[in-house]
Amino acid sequence: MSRLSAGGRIDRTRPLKFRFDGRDYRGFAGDTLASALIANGVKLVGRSFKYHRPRGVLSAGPEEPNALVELRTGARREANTRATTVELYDGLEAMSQNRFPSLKFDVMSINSLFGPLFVGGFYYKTFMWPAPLWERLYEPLIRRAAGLGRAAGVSDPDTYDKAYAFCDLLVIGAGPAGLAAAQAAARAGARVILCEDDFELGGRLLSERHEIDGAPAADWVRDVEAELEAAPEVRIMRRTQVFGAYDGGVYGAVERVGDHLPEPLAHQPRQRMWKIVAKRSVLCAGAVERQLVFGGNDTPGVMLAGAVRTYVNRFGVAPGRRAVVFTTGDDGWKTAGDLAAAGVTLEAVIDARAEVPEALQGPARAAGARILLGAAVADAAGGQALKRIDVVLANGERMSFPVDLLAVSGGWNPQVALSTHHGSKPVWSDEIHSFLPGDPGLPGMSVAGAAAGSFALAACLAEGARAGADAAIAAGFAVPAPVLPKVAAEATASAPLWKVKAARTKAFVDQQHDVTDKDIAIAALEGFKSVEHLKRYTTLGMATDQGKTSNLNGHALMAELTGRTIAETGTTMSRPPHLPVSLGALGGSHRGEHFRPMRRVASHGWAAANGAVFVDAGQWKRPQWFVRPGETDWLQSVVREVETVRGGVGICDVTTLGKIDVQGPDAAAFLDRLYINMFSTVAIGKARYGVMLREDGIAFDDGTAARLGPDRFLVTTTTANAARVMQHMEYARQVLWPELDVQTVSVTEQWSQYAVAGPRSRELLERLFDGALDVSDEALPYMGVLDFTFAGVRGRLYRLSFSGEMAYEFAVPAMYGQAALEALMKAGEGLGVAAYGTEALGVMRIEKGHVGGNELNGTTTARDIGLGRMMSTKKDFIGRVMAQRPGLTDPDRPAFVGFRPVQPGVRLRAGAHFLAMGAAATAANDEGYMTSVAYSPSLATWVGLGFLKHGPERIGQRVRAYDPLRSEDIEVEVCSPVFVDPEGKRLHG
Amino acid sequence: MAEPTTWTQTSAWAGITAVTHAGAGVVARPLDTLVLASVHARKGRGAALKAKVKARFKIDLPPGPKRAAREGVAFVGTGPGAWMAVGEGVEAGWLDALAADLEGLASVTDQTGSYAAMRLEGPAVLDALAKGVFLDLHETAFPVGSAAGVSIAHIGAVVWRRERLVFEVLTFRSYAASFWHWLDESAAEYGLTVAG
Repeated sequence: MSRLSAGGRIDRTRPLKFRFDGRDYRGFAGDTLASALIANGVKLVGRSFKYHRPRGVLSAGPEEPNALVELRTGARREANTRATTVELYDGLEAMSQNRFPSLKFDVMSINSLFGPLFVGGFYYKTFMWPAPLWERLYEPLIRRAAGLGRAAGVSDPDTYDKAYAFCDLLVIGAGPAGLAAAQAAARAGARVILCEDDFELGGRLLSERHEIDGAPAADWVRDVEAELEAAPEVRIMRRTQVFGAYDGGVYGAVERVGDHLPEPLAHQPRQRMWKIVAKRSVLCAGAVERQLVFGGNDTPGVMLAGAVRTYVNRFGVAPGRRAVVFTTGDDGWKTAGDLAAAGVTLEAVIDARAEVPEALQGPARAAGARILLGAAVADAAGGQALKRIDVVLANGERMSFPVDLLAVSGGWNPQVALSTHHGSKPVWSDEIHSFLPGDPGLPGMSVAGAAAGSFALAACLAEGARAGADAAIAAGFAVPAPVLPKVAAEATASAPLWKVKAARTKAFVDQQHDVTDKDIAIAALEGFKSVEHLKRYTTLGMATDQGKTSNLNGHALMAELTGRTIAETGTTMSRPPHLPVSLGALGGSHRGEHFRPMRRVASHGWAAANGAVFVDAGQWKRPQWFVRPGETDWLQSVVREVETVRGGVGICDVTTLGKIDVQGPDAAAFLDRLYINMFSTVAIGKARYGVMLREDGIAFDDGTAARLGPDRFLVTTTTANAARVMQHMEYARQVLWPELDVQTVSVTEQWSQYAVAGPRSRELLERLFDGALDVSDEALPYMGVLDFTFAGVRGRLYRLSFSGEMAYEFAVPAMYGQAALEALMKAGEGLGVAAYGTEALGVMRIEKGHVGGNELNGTTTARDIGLGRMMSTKKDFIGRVMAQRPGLTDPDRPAFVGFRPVQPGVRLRAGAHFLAMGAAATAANDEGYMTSVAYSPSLATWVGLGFLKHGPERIGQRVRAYDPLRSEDIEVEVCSPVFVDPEGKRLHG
Repeated sequence: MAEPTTWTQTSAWAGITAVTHAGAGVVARPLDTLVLASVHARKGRGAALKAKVKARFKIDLPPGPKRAAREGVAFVGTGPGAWMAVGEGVEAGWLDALAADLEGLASVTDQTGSYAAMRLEGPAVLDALAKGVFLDLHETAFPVGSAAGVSIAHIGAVVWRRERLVFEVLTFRSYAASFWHWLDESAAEYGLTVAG
């Protein structure tokens, strides 16, 4: 056990059990999985991506490249989880990944022996040819060998949701700078949101032995936290990671609501996606320590020096018994002091700098450690656990230390990623040897503390307080003079060391993607010198950690190799998300059938109870057909429904057709400009069929408009185009012709509407109304409209037909929709009435040669669909001019006709293209295409509609319907598109 | 000629609002008796319309996204020159009278059947609404009497604030089930109760 006997922020009264790779361990509340594993002496936690090298825990935060595990089991199994961020809970189960058969003995580690083969650009070079092998052999092979972790493979049992929040100031990170910022803004009364990725506030203060105002820093954190909790306009969001900065002060964040529990609590999501709109933000994301590039720097037991302090001070655990600190800056010396204070044997402190202030060396000297200045660790060795390090001294001599912990500190990189999301480039600093947030950065965002390159605590507190106060002032609040807490001065100097040249073994730059210093050199040799090319050629920084501990080292090495400064070499930019975000959180509750909202008509429940099979029509659920007992095939149901309508009477819900109330003195003039045909001449109480074009002359939508009064029309649209026609009208009304006095409003939802169709439809209505309404042909002729009040309901009856039969559309306000359908069905009981769905509707419109969505497909003109003569020459209308373009009036354009198979019984296919008999199947010989087909029960054959070159002049001729997708080539006869009742006798009944 | 019995109205929420979760963080109250009409001003008649509404209802037509109400009648601004007239507990024929009163001044359209209406209240109502309404509902930004056209879980809705923790929402009737799915998922953790 490596747990220290005292100290840390863990709760030793709350032991927790957990399992890793099938073995039982114990930790405490307040541990992460990583700290608990270290406390149990577990050093080997994973295998690397390419070489399957043994890897341990490098860091103590989200930047971790190595300690990636599969968390949980079964449906909740989650790959690539960073053990350093997983909050321990009782019963936690984790497995190492990327190893077979076990972590300790992994057969793929043989890749290490073939190291020279796997250098940068390996995939591009090795798997180039023969090309056909790529899909069948190379890719599956690479995927199996290189994958990290396994997906659960079954549906995620948890829920996710989304929420919005608004504030004056968003503080990103609750370290000293963030807490000071939140406190300053909150004291001014501003609305503050404080997001902290960790489960505890405090940031680095939790990991250091700082004092603030003469007391442990933890006391200050506790007091500020209590103050913020009590402030009414402050929201503290723990376990919340801000992952992206977007336009207009919008930030994306994920709150891990239930990730720290075995399962989310009842009715709680696992994670919640937040969209936060902030007038200002302060980025206090801190800094990430750089690793150092030397031989064997990936050996388990090599750990970032700051992380070592976190494990010692926060988690009360010693990551080793015999330690050496290898640093290039003042910060590493803190680790030496903390290790010594924790009772770890400190063998040596190695600083690459030749001179180090005497005061820093005190604690290490007192602990009896060797102090080696101007020296460097060349190689670390030990395989699965660190055993020895080889050091190159200032004089070039080598010496070894037997150790099990090497703490390394290469300086700190400000976490600038969020400041770059709007394209602001980070700026190189010769002072901290790293990149600072660009200037100007993101609008409304300021950066404070370590994220701005200020590593001393006093500066963090002061910058945070100032940024918080500035944000409050910007939001219009009066800000009291800040009182800064007193803290001791700190040394934060560092000097860069990008690579230990004396290294004899493999030195890793990017540990997660197994990119070594040699890979960088190969990229430089082969000309991939730009950081963007380097990234793609070597995959440096492209792993899930996005190179947080490695990118700068790689870029610095490239700078050195190409004789440029790092500032000249540049650094890669970051895009959101800054850290991995689960797809579940992005989807929220929009899963399965709820992936988008659905619309139900008033008769939905009735239809469901009567065998309806529903089809999606946009968001609407429409009955496609109704299955009756004994029916086993959809065509059987559809044929019955068609025969019922053609022979008696059927009822179809047509509520989903768009309905628009057009009112105003200029309503008629308005419609004249929208439709190709005339509407100002429609008599009150009559409806007319009309077609609208798009501005470009292509047919847009069709439907009927009924005149309800001198200045009122009820326009209907197709289901698919309801919203688009409404939008089109609003545009025309508001933008094109604001001088017209006309108002439009959608009433699609106001009316439940049923088509009552068939030779016995009038009889059904007579039975329903029982004399209360005269529905005779004289009172309500074809295309007539009647308002009625019946059974306490005001409704409307239209004499319209899509089926070609005598038919009506019966409309009532939606709250009576269900009652009306029940009454209609009851009235039709003795007439053999049946409900019919969209499929039968479609069959009948095809039999009747009416165009539908397949013909109004966005490429056809009014002439193409056989309605060219409807285009009025007496008025202007939208699309008129553009419809006269030569390409749209070309007589060779395929035109609307019907088709039937020459061989009876042969099935036609929509999508087939027409070829002249004997013509070769080439695009040049293409004469048009089939748009709609149906089995016609009335004709006992398949029939089709489509567009054929000179079609109307070729009636009676034969062509081929050629369908290369289905390998069909069918002889068809060109015919009139109106297959049933061409004289229209039935309509008039 | 036998005069038939009056047809039964079906609530937009019928069969939908059955599931509730213990607790009353959010109380949902279906509003099935609201009478709704869209009122769109005729061209150049805005001032006359305003005067007529003032005279008839003693209500100042709000010029923006606000709700102005008096004695069971409310006008909610839904766009430039556009309002939703809302009658609460009004007598039969109210809508006809409204249309007659505003004849020539506005195009009035019955929308009573178009919407599913619901009142949402309770101590956690803001937390639940924050999961759907991408709008700052803080009292300083959206005080009592404010109204807005919003998209809740991709469903268009009109929402207004009647009291500090009392909101009313209109959504197209066909979306009622999907709206409820959103509310049920969003409010469950606070407790959701359906009031009669």
